[in-house]
Amino acid sequence: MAFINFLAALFGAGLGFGLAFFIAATILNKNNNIGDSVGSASLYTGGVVMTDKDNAMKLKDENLYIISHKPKKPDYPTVPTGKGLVERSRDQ
Amino acid sequence: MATLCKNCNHALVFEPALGKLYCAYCGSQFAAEDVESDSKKYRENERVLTRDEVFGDDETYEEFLESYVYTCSECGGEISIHGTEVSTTCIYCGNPNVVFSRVAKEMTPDYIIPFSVTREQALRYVQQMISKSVLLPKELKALNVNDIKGIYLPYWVVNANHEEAAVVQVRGGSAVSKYTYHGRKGYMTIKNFPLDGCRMLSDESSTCLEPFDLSAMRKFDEDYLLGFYSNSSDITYEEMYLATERRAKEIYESTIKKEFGKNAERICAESHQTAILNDYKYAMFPVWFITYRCEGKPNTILINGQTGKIVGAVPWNKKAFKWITIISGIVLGVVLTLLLRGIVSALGAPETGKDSASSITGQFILGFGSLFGMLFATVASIKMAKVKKLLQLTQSDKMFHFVKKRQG
Repeated sequence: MAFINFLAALFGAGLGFGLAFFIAATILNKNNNIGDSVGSASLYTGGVVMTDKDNAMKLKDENLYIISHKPKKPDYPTVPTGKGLVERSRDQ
Repeated sequence: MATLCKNCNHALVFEPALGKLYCAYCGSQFAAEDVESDSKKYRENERVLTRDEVFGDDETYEEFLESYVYTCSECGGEISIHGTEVSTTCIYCGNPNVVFSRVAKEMTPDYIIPFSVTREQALRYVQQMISKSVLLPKELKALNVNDIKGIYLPYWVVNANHEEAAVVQVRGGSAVSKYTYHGRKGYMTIKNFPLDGCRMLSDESSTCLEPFDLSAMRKFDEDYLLGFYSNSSDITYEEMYLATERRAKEIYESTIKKEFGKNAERICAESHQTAILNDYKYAMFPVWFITYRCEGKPNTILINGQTGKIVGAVPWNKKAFKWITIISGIVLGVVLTLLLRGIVSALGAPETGKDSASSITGQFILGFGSLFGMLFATVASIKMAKVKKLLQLTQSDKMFHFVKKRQG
């Protein structure tokens, strides 16, 4: 019985401190942390269009899948990447 | 150069509550688009010289080019501006000044979202935010704002295409493997995606300011800057691409992971192409920066000048937090110990002579108790990390200097 009492005290204290820390952190996060959110994806995209799905893969196939489905470079004009400062687009 | 009232020749400022230029001297109001000034015509023909063109690309000049000096068109006083500032206030006469050569041609924004949140509203929002916060340090009980500045930040509004092939590792497989793997290839188009063009401001802070309502964007007119500070963009094409790529990947990967719910563990392999289209726009978005000191550290709260969204964390009394957690932990610990002991005794410990099934159930309950304790502590640590991260941004020196370096 003493052993069970010891275990109950040990786990009760652990649970108590865990719960107390959880409650304090939740209150702090709710009241002192404001505006910690970013614009949602739906604001900028109409969603993802899937062109291929493979549900029967094995771990060793992952690289093969990536190689065989590698997206091609776009064949239309895009913004260059470079060290120059971004200037206004002439193409609006 | 200031824009002057055509009725009394005093400097005009943009008044967010009216959405118009306002003369504090005679009370006249003008729509920004209706005000024509010689300075605007002058700007049209002015070419921007880059720093390299003027001083060469010698990096050692960097420290000597901290500020640029212009002359106030109202009083002739010296106006000192730093880095990428475009508009400021004269410290001698208090009149708003826009440095037109800095917004000339190449760097003139296409659009602007004018401030609609007034200075008083911004201050009230912060006061409300602080009054709702808990465990406030003593000096915050009476908020003493050191500085409040309305700054137009440069943003690039981009359209992009993102295509990605990815393999998702999902929990809950067969007896042979505890994971399954799913290949997904797809694309998405991104429209009107705002990217902050200011190096001094961290991406974490600027993304938290979203969303901005882009339908309220107006054609740029420098008169909207009057009475506010503003910066021009100083990011490179590479930085613009990397920021777009990062956000596009985040959106794409979180979307495909959603299909598998909480079982989606990680993206274990991927290949992608992100392309920014050439029709990107340059815009200025309004942000209020409110600075106060607490425990010797500057704290800067950001407010979206269009929607009033607040971004920032309020410091808390760490000693009080520690003691409240310890004391409530002891109280809860005692209560839960008694509760667990009661349950285990009722179910029967091995020595009590009750059946072994009940005894095992009692031991399971103890096990679950400790498991829940650990779970609570883990979730609490994640929440604390979130608050601490935002507090770090709020108290960052970089942000403080971004605001503080301006005159006026």
